[in-house]
Amino acid sequence: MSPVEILPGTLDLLILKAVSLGPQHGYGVLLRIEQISRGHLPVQQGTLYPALYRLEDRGFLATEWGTSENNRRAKFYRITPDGRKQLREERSSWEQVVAGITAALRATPESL
Amino acid sequence: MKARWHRVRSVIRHLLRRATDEREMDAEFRNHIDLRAADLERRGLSRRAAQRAARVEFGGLEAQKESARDVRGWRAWIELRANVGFAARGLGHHPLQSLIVVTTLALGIGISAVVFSVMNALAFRARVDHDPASFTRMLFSYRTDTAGPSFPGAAPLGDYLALAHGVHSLSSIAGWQHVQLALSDGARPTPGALVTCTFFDVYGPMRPQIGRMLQRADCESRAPVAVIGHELWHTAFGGDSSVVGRVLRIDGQPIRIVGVAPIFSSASTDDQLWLPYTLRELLHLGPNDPASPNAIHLFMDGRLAAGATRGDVAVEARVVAAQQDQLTSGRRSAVFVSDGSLIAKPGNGAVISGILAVIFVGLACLALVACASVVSILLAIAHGRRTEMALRMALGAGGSRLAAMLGTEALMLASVAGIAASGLTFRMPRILMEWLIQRPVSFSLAPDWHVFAFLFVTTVLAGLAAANAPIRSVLALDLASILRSGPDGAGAGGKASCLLLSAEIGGAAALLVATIALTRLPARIAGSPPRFDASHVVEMNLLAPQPSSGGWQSFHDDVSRTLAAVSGVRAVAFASAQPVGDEGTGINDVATADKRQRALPWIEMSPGFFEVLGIRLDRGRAFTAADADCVAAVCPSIVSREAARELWGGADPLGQRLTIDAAHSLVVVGIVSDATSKIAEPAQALMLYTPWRPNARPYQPFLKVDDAGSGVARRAASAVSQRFAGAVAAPQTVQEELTQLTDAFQRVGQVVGIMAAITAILAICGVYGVVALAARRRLKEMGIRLALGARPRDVYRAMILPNARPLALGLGLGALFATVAAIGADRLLAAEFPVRLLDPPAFLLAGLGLAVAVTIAMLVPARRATAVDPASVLRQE
Repeated sequence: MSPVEILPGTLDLLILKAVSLGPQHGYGVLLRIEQISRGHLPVQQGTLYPALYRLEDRGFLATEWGTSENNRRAKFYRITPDGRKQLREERSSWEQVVAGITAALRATPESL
Repeated sequence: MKARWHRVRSVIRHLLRRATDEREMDAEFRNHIDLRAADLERRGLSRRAAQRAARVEFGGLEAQKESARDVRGWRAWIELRANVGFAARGLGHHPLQSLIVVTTLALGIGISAVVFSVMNALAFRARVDHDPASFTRMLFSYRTDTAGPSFPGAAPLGDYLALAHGVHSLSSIAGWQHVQLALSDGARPTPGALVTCTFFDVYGPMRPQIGRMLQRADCESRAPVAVIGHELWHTAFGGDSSVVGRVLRIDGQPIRIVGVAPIFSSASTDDQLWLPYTLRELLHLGPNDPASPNAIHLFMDGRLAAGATRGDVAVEARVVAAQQDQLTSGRRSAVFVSDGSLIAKPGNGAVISGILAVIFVGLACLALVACASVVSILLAIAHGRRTEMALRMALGAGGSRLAAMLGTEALMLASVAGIAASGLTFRMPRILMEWLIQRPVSFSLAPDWHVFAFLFVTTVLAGLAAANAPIRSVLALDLASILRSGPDGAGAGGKASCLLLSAEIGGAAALLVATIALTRLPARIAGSPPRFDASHVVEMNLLAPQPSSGGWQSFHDDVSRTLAAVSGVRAVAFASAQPVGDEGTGINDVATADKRQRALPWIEMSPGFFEVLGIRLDRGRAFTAADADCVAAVCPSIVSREAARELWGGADPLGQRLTIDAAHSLVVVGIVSDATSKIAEPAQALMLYTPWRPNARPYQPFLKVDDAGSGVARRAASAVSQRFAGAVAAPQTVQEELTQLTDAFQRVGQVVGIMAAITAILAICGVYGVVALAARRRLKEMGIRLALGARPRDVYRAMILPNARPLALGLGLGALFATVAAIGADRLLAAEFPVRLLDPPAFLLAGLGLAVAVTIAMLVPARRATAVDPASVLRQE
């Protein structure tokens, strides 16, 4: 299956999910999303940092400086309790959307 | 909410550690690119290709940073910081112009705020030091079957006592009445007040400087005690700390001082003595009995109870007043409840609004001139920056970015000026007020939120007004032509400069007219005195206690005999007021036979009053002793010539009827000459005279004297105070009273004069700025003209003529402004002031003076243009 574009408004959800699995630096978040979406959802690099900063400013992510795998200082993002709550809410609303759309797509003339 | 707070915290943190944030963002992005490059390298790309591909994928370091800054809300702050830096550098490059701009704006804003502050304190606030929100004033007007409504004022003691018990929406209520008290024989009377013993609770709470304030028991026991004022304590007792317990002789009675009041704000700003109102009888000022027809009348102030409103007070007070009306046959009351401010006083609204409107026209002139001057200078600075702005535009800076830079600069200048102006607002109102009234001010002039709101709005408006023209001139730049031709290329703003010049000249002209007109007033009054012998007429200004026996008729007879016996007095007469500029003049609504209603100034007078004043009887007859105390349905009256002309035109006034109400009318038995001079407003000459009612009330004695400087006034005052216990007089010639009135106007004129002088200087600076800017723009043209054979005279003409139109337009605008203001002021003051303010010579002088000053301001840059070297100009071409 070829990669698809991330749906508008879902990048924040994906970032929160990626970071909820463990603290990551910016590039790591990008790789983690590709990994957990099995390569279907490549993130445009230009959209990553604005989204990370937006989530940090809203208090859903916290940051701390550490050392990355190339032995350089890197800024690591970790999810905050508010972020976990937000993730739960966004996930629930996403699942409702998916359920609704799936049900709609499975409809047949007989089921009406 | 929580997310918003996190965002605010992020912006604040960024403001505090901007450099660190920027450094960290840079490090984070570079690390990202390096990690990606390492990944790509592991996938087989060369190091160089991997690095390049990683950078391309990332999308440009600076572009990413800009996106990040936008998301975090940092960009606005970064731009603001850059704009402030630009403005600070700009101000540093033009320190002199910046200083002029700040000074001009500070004076413009500061003077407006000071005047507003004084107006605010005088007209819109109750004169109390504490909690003005709960202060409440009640005024009462009474009418009977035979008399129209009285002017809203004090209520009789019986009503006060009923209201004090019956109005529960007031937590405290106080009554007071001014009195003039003789502290020692021969001394000038001291202003004081008879007060209820709650007086200091309503105007306080206040702590006495020494001793104690009045207490309820003082009024109940009629204790002969007094609280003295701070000023009297110092003038009469030298600030002696042992003054408490000392005994004063007030109207001959021993009164013990129990305390010294601090300086405090109240309706009775002049008062220096406060006594329990129950001492009235002891001081021979009238009976204490509330049921007496001569009971004391008290002005009433109070404090709202918790949760109550002035509406509640009005409802309760009207109920109580209606109950009191039942006790007095035929009386009907009206109650007016207000916050105690001058503008809320019945009848004051229109007059004060009018006065404020006239003052604000003056302030508008000042603000207009200040802004126009500032804009001229900022335009000149913007002109010098045209190349820099063109380069910025060429490098991609948008119009909004440049507008923000110039706007920040103007707002910064306005803010500095606003801060300086607030400094003026704290100190100047008191200095100005004390100079105007020539004595210390007891009421608060501290700026309140109205003043700060005024300052803020004025500062922002001044900043926006100042920024507008330079921004427009920059946005109108023709980029290509400027970059091609250099800094002297064609520029924008010619029409704007012309309008600015007109506005500046107009504002300055209007204020100069006002100054000259007000400064000339005393000389005009002296040069055209009233049409009666004001310097040989002494008004006694007599305050006398109610006669204990014989009534007012015998009192008047006695006063007349006493004064007639004083050497130097040729005749004595009585009246309710004198006919020029007297607050005591009443107003009566009358209707002519053809049902036209007219409010006429009205004086009740004894026989002989016209002879004493020297007012000539034109036709008919004067009043005789038989006309006094007229109780008939038709009483005699005399009208002034102007009143006769106004009421009946060419018809014969003698025998004409004037209806007062259904049961009373007047018949005209005589016509007298107008009392006012020819330069007065015609309305001033309107006057209706009716016979006095010597039994009903006291009248002021007027003396015809041979020589007012011979001490006759002092002898008359002494004779009266010796003859009548408790009586005090402050005699003055009518001319002296008029001079005092004009002195007050002269001081107002001086204040306006200082404002106008500052404005004129600002205007001339602005005019110079505009003309100098035009000269600089046209230097090349003048050089070419000179090279082609033009003479210096032609250069002068070319430089000055374009400014002739704005000069004429400005002078016209100024004349229009000043005429409207003067006519407005004349209409407002027609009843109180004996001279018109509309003064044609003032227009001429102001116009000429300003035209000369502006012409000189135009000549200096024009002279510079004639000195241009044609050869060097042509070489530059």
